[in-house]
Amino acid sequence: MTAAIEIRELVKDYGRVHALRGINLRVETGEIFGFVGPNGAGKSTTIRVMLDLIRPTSGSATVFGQDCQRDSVLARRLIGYLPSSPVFPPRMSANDVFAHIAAVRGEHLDEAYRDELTRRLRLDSTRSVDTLSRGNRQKVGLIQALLPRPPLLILDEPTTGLDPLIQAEVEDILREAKARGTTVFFSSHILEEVEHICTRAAIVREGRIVDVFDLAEQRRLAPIHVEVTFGQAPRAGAFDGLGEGVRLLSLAGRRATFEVHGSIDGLVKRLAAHTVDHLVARETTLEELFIQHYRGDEPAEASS
Amino acid sequence: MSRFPVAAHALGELRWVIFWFGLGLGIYGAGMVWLFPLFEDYLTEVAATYPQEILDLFGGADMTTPQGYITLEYQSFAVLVLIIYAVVAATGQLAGEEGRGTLEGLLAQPITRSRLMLEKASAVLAGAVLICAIISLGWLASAPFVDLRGELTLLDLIGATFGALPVMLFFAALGFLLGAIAPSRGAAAALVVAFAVASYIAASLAQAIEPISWMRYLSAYHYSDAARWLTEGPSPWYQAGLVAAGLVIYALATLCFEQREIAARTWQFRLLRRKR
Repeated sequence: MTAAIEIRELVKDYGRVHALRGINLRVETGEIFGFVGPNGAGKSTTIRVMLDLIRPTSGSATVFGQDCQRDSVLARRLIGYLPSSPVFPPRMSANDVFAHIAAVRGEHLDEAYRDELTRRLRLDSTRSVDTLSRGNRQKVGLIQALLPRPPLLILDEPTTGLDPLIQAEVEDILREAKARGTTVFFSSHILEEVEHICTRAAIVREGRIVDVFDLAEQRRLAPIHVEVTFGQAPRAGAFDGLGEGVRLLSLAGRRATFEVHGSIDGLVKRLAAHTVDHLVARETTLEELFIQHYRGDEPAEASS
Repeated sequence: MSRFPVAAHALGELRWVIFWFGLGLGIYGAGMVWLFPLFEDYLTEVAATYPQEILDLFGGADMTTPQGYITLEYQSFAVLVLIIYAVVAATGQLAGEEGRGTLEGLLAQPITRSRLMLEKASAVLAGAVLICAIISLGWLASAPFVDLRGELTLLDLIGATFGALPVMLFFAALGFLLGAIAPSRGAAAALVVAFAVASYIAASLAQAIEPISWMRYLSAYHYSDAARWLTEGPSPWYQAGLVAAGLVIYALATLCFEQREIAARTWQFRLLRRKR
């Protein structure tokens, strides 16, 4: 099956600056794929190559089999794009922007879908884009990307400036798009958001993909962190020999933190010998994984 | 839905520029025609007292005739203003849109860069035609009502006005080229305007100073026939040369724009680098 996005050995140099150092990535059709990394890691550069706004030094990117440079118009017909800071021509209403983009694409404007999206995102689309707030401009950008119902949505920091209610609505809209078979390439530095909505995610660091993981699998395999507050400080050595898969990370006064791989049963039984005032068990977050990768000195390249 | 949405939008954005350029030059031109009977005797005195070199500096025409008077007082200067329109409009299309961030959204759509540029260039040229049309309304409101001794007709004036189109095309193409390679619109516009003004000055000086008369051939403005259209008639070869040069420059601009990295904000002269 043709991948929605396939990037091979993508390199982009700006003189001595190496923006991309050999990105390899495959995004399957119909998934919501997170593309995670801090500013300057190469996320936007990768996207800009896919849109043929910049040309790679070497390597290639394809969208549903269409080469993003050689067949760029065909590739872009399959893409709805939200830039990280959407800017629109001045003195146009949001409705004018939608109509203009539909005309440039040579496509019919689906007014019913436009009205549905503006209602759900609470956008007054009759107002001039010049007078809109950052968040409302973001909504215009999202709607113009969604309106052609493209098979691939490339969203660069899509929820920037949106309030939590609208963010939740955007997530619902993207899930509905996924249900219709749309692939979503979701670039963000907000890890919680990526964790929440994406099926898989890649971490990009210094122009390289350092890890690609299935978030559901990650949740299954990742250790659980258990933070316990005891009624009284346990004696030293109270948690020696915890057994396979359980590790004491810290013990300070009445508080202890454990890391558990696999079953939590053994730890619960050991804790039962103590008075437990408070206990919190949580999965490893994407943020923790991300920090692990970013604390490493040398990025170890991984392939999807 | 327009079949040429980029052109329609670009023309819409230029509408006030077109209106004010047209209105300003139209009123000024009409005013000059209306004032001719008042200045007629005075101009004869001026022409008698001024050295020919000074008159040459301003076009070299016989300012006691209606055609010489309009050439000196309007035509030679108006063509420079029309060139400035062409530069302002052309550099705004690529470099201007890139600078304000709207080009990225446009190029993310399924449209080729050459198509985008062609639509934008069409809008700039349509604007140039509209400006000439507005100026012609000024001639229509003045020339039929003023005694121009039968030496200068409404059609002569309209012809000379639309005769500026080839030189506007040339400088618009230059504006597109610089817009495709310069890091910003400001840099592109400043360079092309500087070249236009230098062309104007070079043509004027070359006309007045014999030892450097050869310099006129280096001036794009010289080929516009602005200083000769009404008095001697246009040179078809010069006009055709401007159009041909404009088309060659436009083709170069298209090649450069095809290779341009959007929003890189650097000089980019990648004419020959092939796509992979």
